[in-house]
This record gives sequence, C-alpha cells and structure tokens, in this order.
Amino acid sequence: MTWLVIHLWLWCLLAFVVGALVAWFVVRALYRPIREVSADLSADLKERVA
Amino acid sequence: MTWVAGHSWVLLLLSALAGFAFTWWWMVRKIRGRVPITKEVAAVAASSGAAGTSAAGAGVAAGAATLAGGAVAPELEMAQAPDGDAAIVNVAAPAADLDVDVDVPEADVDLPNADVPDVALPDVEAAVPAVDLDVPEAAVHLAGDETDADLSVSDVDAGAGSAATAAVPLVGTGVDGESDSAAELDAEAEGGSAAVDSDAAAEADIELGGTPEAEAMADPEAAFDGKPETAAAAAGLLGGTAAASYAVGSFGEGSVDPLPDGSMPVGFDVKGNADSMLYHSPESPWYARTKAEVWFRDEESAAAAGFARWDSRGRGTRGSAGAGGDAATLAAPSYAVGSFGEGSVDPLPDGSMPVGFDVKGNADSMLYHSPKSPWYARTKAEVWFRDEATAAAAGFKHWDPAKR
Repeated sequence: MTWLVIHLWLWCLLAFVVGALVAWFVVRALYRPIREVSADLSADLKERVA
Repeated sequence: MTWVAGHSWVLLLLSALAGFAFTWWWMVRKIRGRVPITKEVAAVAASSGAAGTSAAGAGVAAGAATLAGGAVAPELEMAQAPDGDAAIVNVAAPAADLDVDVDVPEADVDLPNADVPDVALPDVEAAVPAVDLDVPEAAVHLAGDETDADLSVSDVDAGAGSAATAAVPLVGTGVDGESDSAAELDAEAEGGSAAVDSDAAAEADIELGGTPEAEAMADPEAAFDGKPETAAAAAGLLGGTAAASYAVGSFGEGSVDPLPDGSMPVGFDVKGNADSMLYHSPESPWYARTKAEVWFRDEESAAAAGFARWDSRGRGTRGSAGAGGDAATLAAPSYAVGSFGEGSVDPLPDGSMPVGFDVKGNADSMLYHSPKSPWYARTKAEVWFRDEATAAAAGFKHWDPAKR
C-alpha cells in the first residue's frame, strides 16, 4: 500500500480512467435520443427505398 | 511544486477532470459526425415519402399520392396555428390503380386577410379515367387574425372506371368558396400561378378536365391569371390528354431540358445527370439532391438515351442504346472546334459538358480524365474531348500512369 501511495502517478492514472468512464456514461445517456431517431429514420428510409 | 506534491488530491482531481474532458470531447465529436447523416436521411425520407406533414403553418410534402379507382372521398384536414397560419396536415388518399398522372411540383396557397368561416366544396360528379397525384410539396398559408377556415372536399362521385380528387382542387381548378373577406388562393404550379378568387356564396366548382365525360361546373369568376404557363400547368394537372407540351430535349424524344425556373416539367419526373450519365427516378435516395440536367418522361426514355439507372453498376454512355441513343446523337448540338484541334471543345459558358464530349482535359497537368477516372468529378475541364484517342492525339496523357 505504501508503494501505491508513493507512486502518485498511478493514482492519477486511475483518476483519469474514472473521469473518462464517467464522461462516457454521461455522453452516452445524453445522446441516446439522437441515436434512436437516426436508427428510426434509417429503417424508415430503407423501407421506402425497398 | 512542493505544494502540489503535498496536495495529491489536487493532482487526482485534475487527472479525473482531464479524463472526463478528453472522453467528452472524443465522444461528442464522434456523435456529431453522424448528425449531418441524420439530417440527410430525414430530408430524403421527407422528399420520397408518401405524405409528409408539417404542422407549423407551412408545408405539406406529399411524395406520391395515388388515388384509387371508384368513388374517392379524400380527406383534407386543416390545422389551425396560433398565429393565424394554417397548414394542411394530412392529405389522405386511398391507394390506386389509375393511369393518368397529375403532377403538382409545388403549390403555394395564400389566403391574405382571410376570415374564412367555411369553404365547402359540394358534391361533384366527374368521370375521369385515372388520376395519379404527385404532390411533392404544398403549402397553405392563411394570413390574418381571424382565420377559421374549414376547407373540406366532400363526396366526389365518379363514373365507371375511376375518379379522383384530393389536393387537386387547390391547384389549377376552380375553387369558389364562401368568404367574408376576399380570399385569394394562389396556386403555383409549374412556374405559373393560378389565382382563384373566392368571395361568393358557398359553392365549389371542381373541374376535372381533359375528358369529355367530365362533368364540371366551371365558375366564370374563378379564373387563372392569364399566364400561358398556368393554362399549360392546369392542363397538365387535369387531364392526361391535355398534358403540357415541351420542346424535345437534347437527349431526344422523351426528354426535356431543364425549365428556366428549375421546376419539373409535368409528366417528366425522372432526373438525368449528364455528368454521371445516371438517371434518378423518384425512388432514388439521391433524387432530391440530384440537379436535373435533363428530365425524362420515364425510365425507359432515360435508358434509351444512354443513361443508366442510379443503382446500376455500370454507367451509361451517350448515344449508346437503341433508337433513343440515335435520337440523342442526332439532336446533339454542334460546337466550335476547341483550342486543341478537331475533337476538342472549349468549356461552355455554363460549365456544362458538351454533348458527346465527355473526356475532360487538364491543360495544366496535360492529363485527360475519362468518366472512369476516380478524379473525373473533381477535375475541372479546361478542354473537353470526344474520346480518349482524341485527347491522346492532342498530347494529353492518360490519368492512370500505368496506361500512359
């Protein structure tokens, strides 16, 4: 454990990863409507073209 | 530095923030790259749809509304917007097995100062062989404060065979409805406009012309604005036998050159791209984006002129197929000999490709690009050649180094 405390850079890396994961979840949730609408439109277009 | 080392939580917080910010930027950038595609898909879907709606006092995009045989009672619903604008929000028409095409490229109906309590279109009997409505776009605007319009099309009975109505009465036909204030319906179709005054008693006359069987009560007050193109458009709208006539286009019979206003000639709904030699029927996903350099009556006419279908692998070549191709060749205009001798043509003022000269020459690089070249579309032709041999004879080299 002392080794980890001494190696602060490892904690920084871990914090970076945690921040990245949080951002990933947030953006994914925020942009979900766009993806759904896009998918609906694509399916609709395929039906019309077919 | 010592302070930072002593406050490791600051470093940890900064690291987390950096990770958050970087991931946010990366993901948003990735997603936003898809948004234009979404818009594009929406545009294509709207343009090719059977009936699109717009509730915001504006437009109706109706792709291909085909009316059925037998008695047809189409529904025309008006939506009241808070600002006095009204829009047709639903144009419903049963499916059809009819033959006559009525194309309404664009209709814009304005009712200035409209205080229109009711516009009722009573029963109309008409025997029409067949009507196929194509209403790409229609917009109805009711300007004014007290707008309470109820525009309805009631029963339309047809004789044996078929009958049809729908948005047609708004364009090119006489619509005479009751209105407290002078309501003027301007219907634009095919570059022309038909003005219909409605301030008389509630009577509606729907004229479905073009067939001797048609029984229509024409209102003398409902008159077009006198423009010849209006009459032509109306004729094209109302009857298969009275379709508007156009000069034969540069690709022979069945083709029409683009109209000055850019609108679609009535009955010619297939777009031709002279650069790619591809044609796009309305079901093409690129139909809305394609700028028609020539209009064809149908796909057969386009194929006869050497155009290839938009989804085919091979591209068409000018004058390559059948009698239509011969007609295209015969109809090809003549050009002055270009600066690189016989078989070359200097660029035209409008930048279009001279008919029959589809090889682009780049005078800077002294390379020529046939339509097979991957750089063909991007190359600005400083000279056009009839074929690759002519270009080579003029000192130009093949775009592909392996074939020089």
